[in-house]
Amino acid sequence: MAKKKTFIEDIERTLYDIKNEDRPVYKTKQGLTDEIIRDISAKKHDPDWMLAFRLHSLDVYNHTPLPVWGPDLSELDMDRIVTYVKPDAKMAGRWEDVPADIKDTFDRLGIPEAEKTSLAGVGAQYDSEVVYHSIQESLTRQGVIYTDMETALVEHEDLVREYFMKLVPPKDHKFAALHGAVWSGGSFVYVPAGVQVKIPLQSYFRLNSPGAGQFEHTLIIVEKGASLHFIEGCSAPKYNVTNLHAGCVELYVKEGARLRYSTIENWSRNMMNLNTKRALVEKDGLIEWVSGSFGSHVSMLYPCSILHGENARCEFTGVTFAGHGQHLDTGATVVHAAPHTSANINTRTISKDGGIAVYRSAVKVAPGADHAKCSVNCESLMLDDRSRSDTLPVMDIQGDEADIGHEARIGRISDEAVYYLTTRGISEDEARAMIVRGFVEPIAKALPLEYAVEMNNLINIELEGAMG
Amino acid sequence: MLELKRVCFGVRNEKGSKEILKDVDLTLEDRQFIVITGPNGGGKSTLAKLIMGIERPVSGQILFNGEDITDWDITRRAQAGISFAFQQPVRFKGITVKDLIRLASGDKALSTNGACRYLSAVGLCAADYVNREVDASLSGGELKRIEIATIIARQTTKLAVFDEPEAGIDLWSFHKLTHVFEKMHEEQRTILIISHQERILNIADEIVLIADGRIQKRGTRDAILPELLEVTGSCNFFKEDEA
Repeated sequence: MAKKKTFIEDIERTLYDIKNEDRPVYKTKQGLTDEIIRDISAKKHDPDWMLAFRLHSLDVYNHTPLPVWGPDLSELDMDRIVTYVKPDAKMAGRWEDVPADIKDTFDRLGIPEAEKTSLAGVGAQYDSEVVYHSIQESLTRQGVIYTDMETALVEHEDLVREYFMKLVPPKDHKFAALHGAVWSGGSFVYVPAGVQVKIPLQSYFRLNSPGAGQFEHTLIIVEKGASLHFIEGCSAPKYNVTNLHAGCVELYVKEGARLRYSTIENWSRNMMNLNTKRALVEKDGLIEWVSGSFGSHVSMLYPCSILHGENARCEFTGVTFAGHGQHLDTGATVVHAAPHTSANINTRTISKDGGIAVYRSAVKVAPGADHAKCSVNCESLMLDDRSRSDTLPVMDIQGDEADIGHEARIGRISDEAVYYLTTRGISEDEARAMIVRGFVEPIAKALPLEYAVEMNNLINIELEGAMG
Repeated sequence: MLELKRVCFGVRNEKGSKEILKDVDLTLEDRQFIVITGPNGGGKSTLAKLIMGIERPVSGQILFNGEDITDWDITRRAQAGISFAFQQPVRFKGITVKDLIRLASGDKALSTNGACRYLSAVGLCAADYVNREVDASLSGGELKRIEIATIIARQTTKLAVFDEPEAGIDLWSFHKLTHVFEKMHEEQRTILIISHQERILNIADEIVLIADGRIQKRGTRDAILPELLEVTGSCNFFKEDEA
């Protein structure tokens, strides 16, 4: 019987490495040209404005240099990336209608099971398109919209047009421009004013096609006084060619609204993960990020919170684990753009077997954003002498009466701690795993139980060695 | 049960090498309760660590229940039934008292009530501690008592080694501690305690005096105690009221 995620603490490295036959109904050519963009747009039946937007983004991409900081991206050759892969599946509202091999993949990742037990809605994307979407009827009755971006573009075009890539404009950086040109799939969520979505929604993004890119767009609008917990999961099997993930997440948290955005990204070691996530938080609003970065060859990910209204708040909790051959450059950005805004950033990074884990943060307090409060706590744990951990905090404080704190700790697991635990009859590896789990406990606490268990499982896999 | 044969241990540093233990021969019979005492720097804690496998002898042999365990790692010795209470237990972030007790007990499903029983046995108000992290928020004495509780929880223990269990523990709790050792002894466990405390010396079957890396004396309390002052000079390190 095929293995599936059990939500118990077993180590199953093959779980995320299921490879299905690559049998798309359509695939663009490798590379990035005007012709390819027009081709994608036509296949997706974009409105004219979206085609224009894509072409504009391509132009920005072509005129924007690669970042001059962060990990080496020279091995990313866009001429070899296939930017659009349409799977042999139409979007279904029932799992029975999803092709068997694709359904089986999501089954083993535990998605339909989680849908039954702990989610109010699920979106499942396979390569470039969403293949399954559901939402509880009680939420629909309250006016909540949860659908794939393509459907949103047809059924809620005005809303999409108003918000799409306004928070992350193509000019933001080269990969935002790339995303604007080739985006496909993703989720659209709209929570009307005052509606409390008590059970989380989850979108899962699976990239199966070798040498392909995934560019899903997530757009969430939580209106005044409403609340939502949104969970995002990602994974891919390992191939010997470079895959690229350049998703974009835009979160609009309106006055007095609350949004918790939890992610566990678990990419294979051939993945370049260049993802952009940003939230705009209005007066008295709250954005809570819980971010787990596992896998990938290179990651650049710095979720940004723009605290735009008075008393807007941000809580950021993140964990990053870099093993052999990985360079994970992650962190968080907070912009205090209004008075009395506050942010708490709490991260843990772990590096092992020569892995490089960099924590990079930027805290900006704009002029006039007086009485801003920001506390940054980042701790790094290196499991051996070959691994590296860097902390690069940047602070730009222009408001008055700001209360800003930064605390960074970098350490190693002491032999004494390992010996101590082995005297209780466990192996040195188990002892190290226990210490690492303790180290990331503040993050595990912030996750729903089954995802905390998944994170622990991923940590066990990482400690065991390279996966995939 | 336990036999050390001509065990030597030394350290090397920039100043040269130093012998800590010299040709130590020591035998513990099943269910025996012995206390090892002696002046600071005499090699007592090193001896305890050698038994647990935290340090390895330069030469000599360690036998446990007839098997040569000299090359066994800590885990294997623990699984064979040797337990060790640290003089200075390690603090851990993100690991709770209950986690540590569960780990020691080997029972992953040990209930909170079960864990609390062990904490109560060492005089801790269990409900206040069971879910706390074993981090810097605990005092040295609290940590020490939790350490003893984890050893009590370890039901598979055949030989329990305690390295100065009294250190950092207040007098009131200390009474409770001596009962713990007596009870373990009644439960037919073999016990080896490194201690300076007269009350612990009083309840032992035998006392072993180590000084200058060698076993100087071994015998019953009545035979050893009067001689202790001679060997250790004017030091009154084992006086009753010292906690």
